[in-house]
Amino acid sequence: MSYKYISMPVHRLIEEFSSDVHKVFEYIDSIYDRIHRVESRVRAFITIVPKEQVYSYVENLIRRVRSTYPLPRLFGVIVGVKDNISTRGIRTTCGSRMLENYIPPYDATTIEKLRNVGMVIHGKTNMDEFAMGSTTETSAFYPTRNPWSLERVPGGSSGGSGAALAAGEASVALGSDTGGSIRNPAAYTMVYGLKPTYGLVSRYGLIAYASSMDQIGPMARNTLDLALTLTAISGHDPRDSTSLPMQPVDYVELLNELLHREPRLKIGILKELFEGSDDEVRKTVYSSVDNLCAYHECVEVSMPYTKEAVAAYYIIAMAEASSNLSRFDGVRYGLKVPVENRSWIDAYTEVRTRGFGYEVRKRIALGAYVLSMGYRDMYYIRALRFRRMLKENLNSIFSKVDVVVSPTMPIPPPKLGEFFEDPVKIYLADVSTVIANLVGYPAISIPAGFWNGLPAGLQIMSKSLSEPILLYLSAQLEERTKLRDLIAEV
Amino acid sequence: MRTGFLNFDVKLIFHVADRCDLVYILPGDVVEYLERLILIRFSDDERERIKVEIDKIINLFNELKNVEGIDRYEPLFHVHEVPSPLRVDETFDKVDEEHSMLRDNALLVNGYVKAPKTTVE
Repeated sequence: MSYKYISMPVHRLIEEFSSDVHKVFEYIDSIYDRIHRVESRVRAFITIVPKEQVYSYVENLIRRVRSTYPLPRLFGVIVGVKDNISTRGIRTTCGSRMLENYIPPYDATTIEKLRNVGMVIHGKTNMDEFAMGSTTETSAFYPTRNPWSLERVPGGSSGGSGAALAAGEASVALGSDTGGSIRNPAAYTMVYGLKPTYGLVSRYGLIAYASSMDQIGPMARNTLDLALTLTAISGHDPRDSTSLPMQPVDYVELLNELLHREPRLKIGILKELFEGSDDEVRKTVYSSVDNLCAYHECVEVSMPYTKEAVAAYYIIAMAEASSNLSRFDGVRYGLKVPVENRSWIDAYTEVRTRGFGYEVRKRIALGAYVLSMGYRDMYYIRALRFRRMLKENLNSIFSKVDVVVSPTMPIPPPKLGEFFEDPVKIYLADVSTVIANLVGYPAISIPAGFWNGLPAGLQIMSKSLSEPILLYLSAQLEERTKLRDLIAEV
Repeated sequence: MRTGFLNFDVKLIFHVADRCDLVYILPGDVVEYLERLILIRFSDDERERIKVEIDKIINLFNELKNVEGIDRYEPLFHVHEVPSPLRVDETFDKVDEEHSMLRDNALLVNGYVKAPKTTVE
């Protein structure tokens, strides 16, 4: 069995397949063989599509594209998809017993777009239940383990996607990011993860957690693959009323143009977020920042109220979740229970109690609490006021600098169960990531280095629609650190 | 007196909180109140656990009270503030014939709406 394909970047795979389209089967074999060898330890997937079904899909694809030349841009590339993105004919559980047997009758827009460029979905990756978590431990099925250190979490909620990439079980992956759920696992599994500008990627077919902050985005083992996948999935979608009305953009082209011109940028170092990080994380991330500052101009910037940003984020997210998850009642969606001779309230309560795990029920309860009479103004509306204030503060910072940098996560990946007793501690670890979601701006997590064998990530955030700038800085840093296409020895 | 699942034994006590917000005090057992509100139950162990966690989380939420000048800002519900693509709701004086028939024929059985049969089995 050849393992040359396991860590091969997507842009090289494309070259291989365009020279001989049938090499794609050798590639599929090697990915499935890798899954067979490591998945029982990593548990990155909830559902794995049988290899024969993938073979058959690719054979059909080849028949369809034989008459067209060139091949679709990402022909044959295997992508792992987070289990809250609807895939027609492939079970989509959202990490919950509530949807344990749900097979969507339609594809999310992002999935349609992936299929249009020839990508192949081979599995649905594990996640925190309904994306509510930062460790992938709240999955109703099993926790995913970090391929770099199996006793630790891979981050979350897109932990399965990050772990699948780090373990060599997929070439690229999709995640979703409501408060850092792409960037957090990207940092903890030594991969690249981008949360796009809110509205750049369609949310149609994404099972909602907090609709005003949810965003689908790509995860990959290098910057160019991230740009290729973002190009494939972004663009206006009339089926998503919050989708930005804009023409398709080729991020690879824009990235190459910027790498050719190499503009010098002004980088803001977010003082409070570095000060609030563990020493080891801070040192590792600073070394990456030094690499950037060797070419760009760096200045220190201040953003007060970081802890308050976490509070505002959780208030808004829980309030929206409380509303969004009311659809899981066993009638429209969710578990089916016998209803004969029972009151509607009794049946409804049973469905929701049996279907949702503890963390989801807790967040729904707190969402109802902050929206209840008297508390709405005190918590929910105040959080929304803070959100506008934060946006104005950030805009003021972005009038002076092009981007801001911080550690993606202030602590190294925790051990499984480490934060079980105190959920607020793990909520506070989202301090760097929630800001971008509250204001809708794009942010990227880039591998910064290892400390004691544990990964740390650098986050870069900028204004709306500045993804090309983020990709440019990521590619520059990647070139200097050579932290690309890394696969953990599991 | 509690007569049904949704009838709350809520003490409506008004008081003036900081910044002059009028708030209700939720009943003593907040968890029980929330269980009824969201139609979800917690086990006894979970109830003990969530009481502690709710306290900690509400303390975190209360951090927002320390932000100065926050009331000067309008709430930001949506980051892009795009206008809704949906048409404006139009109101009519009366329901149409189809809805009227459905309403007149609907039966309430155990809280469910039982619609009239439209097919012969």
